[in-house]
Amino acid sequence: MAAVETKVGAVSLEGEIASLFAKVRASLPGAGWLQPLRAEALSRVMRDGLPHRRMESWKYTDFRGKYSGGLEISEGVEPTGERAFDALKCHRVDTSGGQVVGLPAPSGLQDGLEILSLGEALAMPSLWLRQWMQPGDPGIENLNLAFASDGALIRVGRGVRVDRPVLLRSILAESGTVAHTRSVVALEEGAELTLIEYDDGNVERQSLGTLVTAFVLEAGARLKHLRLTAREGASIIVRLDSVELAQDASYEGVIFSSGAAMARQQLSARLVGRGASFNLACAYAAGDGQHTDYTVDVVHHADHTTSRILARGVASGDGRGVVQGKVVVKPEAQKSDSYQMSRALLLSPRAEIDQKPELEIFADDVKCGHGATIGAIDVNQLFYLQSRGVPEREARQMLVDAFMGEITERVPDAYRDVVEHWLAGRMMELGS
Amino acid sequence: MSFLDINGLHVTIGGKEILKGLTLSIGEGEVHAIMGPNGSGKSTLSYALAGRAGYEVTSGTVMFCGRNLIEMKAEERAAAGVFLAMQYPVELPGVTTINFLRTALNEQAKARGEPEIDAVTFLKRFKEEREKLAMSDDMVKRAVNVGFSGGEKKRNEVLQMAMLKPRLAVLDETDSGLDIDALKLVATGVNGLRSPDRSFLVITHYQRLLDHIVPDRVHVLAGGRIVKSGGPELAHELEARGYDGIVRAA
Repeated sequence: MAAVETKVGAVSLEGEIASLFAKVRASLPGAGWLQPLRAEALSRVMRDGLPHRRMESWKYTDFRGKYSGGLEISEGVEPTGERAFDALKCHRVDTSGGQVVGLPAPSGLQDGLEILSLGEALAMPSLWLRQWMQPGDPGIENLNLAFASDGALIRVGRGVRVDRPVLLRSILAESGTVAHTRSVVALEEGAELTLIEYDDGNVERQSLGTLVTAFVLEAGARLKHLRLTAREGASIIVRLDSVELAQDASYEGVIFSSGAAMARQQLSARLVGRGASFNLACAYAAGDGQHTDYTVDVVHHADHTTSRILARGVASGDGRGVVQGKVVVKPEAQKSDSYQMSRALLLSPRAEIDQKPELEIFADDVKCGHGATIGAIDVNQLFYLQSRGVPEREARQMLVDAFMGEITERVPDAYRDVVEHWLAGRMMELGS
Repeated sequence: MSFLDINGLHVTIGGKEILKGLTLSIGEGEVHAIMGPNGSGKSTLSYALAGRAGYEVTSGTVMFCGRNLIEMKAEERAAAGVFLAMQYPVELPGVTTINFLRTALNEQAKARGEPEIDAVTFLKRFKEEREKLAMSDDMVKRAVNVGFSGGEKKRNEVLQMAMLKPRLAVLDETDSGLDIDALKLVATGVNGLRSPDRSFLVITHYQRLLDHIVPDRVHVLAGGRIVKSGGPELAHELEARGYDGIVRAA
């Protein structure tokens, strides 16, 4: 489908991106093999256009309509002040504006754990890396590949249980800039890792960050994932995650998003080995002027695989929440067990939430369920609290906290304080 | 001036008038029972006293310890000492009984300018009260009323009452849906809270509860008004003659 022409000055948004690419391509890492792939990715962006409402999976999230254009490549600034997880004992990778600015020293990593920056890896022939640097489907993936400047490459060897969490923090704090990063998290057979991600940065004028991550879990590997997408102000952030699960591999993730003008997270999971399991809990709080989108698709390719998608969100002011959950069960995926439930609370008359569960089931011996509910705060519950002396405002907050509690209680104890503290702050700003 | 003075109260819900000039006075330390047929306005009275939205007072007054209740928000009435034990207690998923009660206690203390209750004292009192009501530690760690049987929900109301120590406790059909054992437990709990500075308004459909919680005065509510009042023997009279008999004669 041809790109819809919207003008910024006399040039379309896509045309502007092409000019930017021409300007910066030589400075992007990965000479030789990567350059033609980047060029191909860009030509697909020109061909397909930026994601817009008439693309089915972007129906509720008008990226192209929101994107202002006129953004410069971010140069990154040293983050200052306290940040979430500063005190956490972990292996930390810090990215600022599209550049990795902090990596753990290799000598401090246990044997079997490898953490590199994409920039470092691209300075070498990197055969292994090439599979993750291919142009893809329409959407942000190609935009990200064309411009990806850095990212984190994490590999955990066979049977290695990583002793402490790996923390990836990414900040984009300069107004009017754009940053694209691409990362890989690969767990070999039987490996175990806890990964924590934190996205922050508050901007006055629009900035755009795209982060593409490939998660690959070989047989029996287990990944526990916690992510706080905490970008604020005029930020647009788009995250694309692909999760590939081999036999008996397991992904357990808890993701929170609140504060950005537009935050879209797309997770695509492929359960390719028998017994693989994908379990995702996602939460959002969309305040005035904020738009949060979780678009999840899961494909069961093998038998006895399990998927769970649990979403909880609140929207206030004119905030918007979107949850799309598509589950496909292939004919050979007998005995699959899939369940998704999305629940939302509207805290104001202007807020809007769109929930779209989809199931495509081609096997005949499976368990698949889904549910979606949207409501306002229950007046009976509110009165019950008030009749015991809890003022209305505090009572509403208690009920919203209780509502979100089903997701926050899934955060491992060690990190719950940080998450609850952040969420409490976001909730206070939410108002109604 | 009585402890609680309800004078000519008219209450409308959704445009329909339910209470049509209800007048009732309760002294401090007294237990009054209100009995009446279905649809007479019993629950309307209790919700109107508690300050529930949608219950519109069109005329009449409610004075509680010299304060005009009608002008007070529900949470203010609670802080002033009004407690409603509900006929259908609400479930609060994600809010534990402990958290619920601690917050309620502290918010009321704040409203009255008193210090908040400290965790240790609170937990100690809480344990004492829940044990009296045969409620397990497990039960109270769960979300309020979620998965509770009818009897457990009613016991939870009495537990809240014991912890919040109200001045005026309105029990709205606390006995409905209870078997004898649960009824006795609830009655014991309520009787244990009787004191010279606390009054009870026990709203019930059946006389049975009043064998266990013996009232000082019994009133019959019919057609939105009190039509007859008397001593505890009035409850037995109602049992014998039915509401029809009493109301027609009134």
